[in-house]
Amino acid sequence: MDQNPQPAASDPATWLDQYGDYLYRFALSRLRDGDAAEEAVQETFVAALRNKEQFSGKGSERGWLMGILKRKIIDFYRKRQRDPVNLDEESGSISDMLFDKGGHWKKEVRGFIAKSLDSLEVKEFRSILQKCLALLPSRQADAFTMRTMDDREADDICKELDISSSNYWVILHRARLRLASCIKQNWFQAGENV
Amino acid sequence: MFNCRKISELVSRSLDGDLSFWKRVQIRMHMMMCSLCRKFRRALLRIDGEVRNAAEQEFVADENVVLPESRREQIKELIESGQD
Repeated sequence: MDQNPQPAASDPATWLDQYGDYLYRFALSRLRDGDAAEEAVQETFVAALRNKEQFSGKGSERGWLMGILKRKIIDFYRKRQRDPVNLDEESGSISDMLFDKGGHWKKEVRGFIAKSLDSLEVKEFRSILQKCLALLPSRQADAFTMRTMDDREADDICKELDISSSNYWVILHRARLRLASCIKQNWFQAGENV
Repeated sequence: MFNCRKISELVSRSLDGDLSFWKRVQIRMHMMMCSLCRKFRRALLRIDGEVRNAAEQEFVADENVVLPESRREQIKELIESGQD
């Protein structure tokens, strides 16, 4: 038994209990996939253990681990960007679903596009948003997440994900079109059921 | 004049900043005439805003979400074996 009940400044034996759930929750919010989130957390602890002496003790231990986790999450994003499965997901263009040949809103989508979201309360908005985010092709959701949740600049995201800037704009635009139409559609249907 | 499809692209881009003065004028003129694009733009603004807010306050996932037990055990073993 350890004689000293107070753990040292950075004692790996305490990491899991102290930060395991926190890191997992963060990873899940960014990766939206339980298995990937678990993997990312595991890799974070392994890397932290290997580089234990790099922890300067200046910042918080949690902050140090979060820094490692964020790198691991980006590694997952990169992998998913290149995964052919994720390229196939985008075969049906969202623009073609919303706009006609002349570039106007299609008749069949006008009903829900016209539906205002102003009366939708934050809590409900978030739950629909989360549902719709999960439906996005992962490479779209990943780029959108980096941009909005992590507030990264476009150039930065292109570098991290190794995509061209024109590709980035297309990906982000598609993500936004899909999200907006998904949320409006959900909200529109909810209104019909009342 | 830009159509709704093109305007939606410009609006999306405007959310990330860099848009020329001319294009911003185009958006504004289009918005005056087109209520669908106005509503759509509002939705895009709100989505970006809500995601940012959700990220600032605790993450999207809630407190009840915990690292699954099987994985916890696995990591525990890795840490214990790696410490020697």
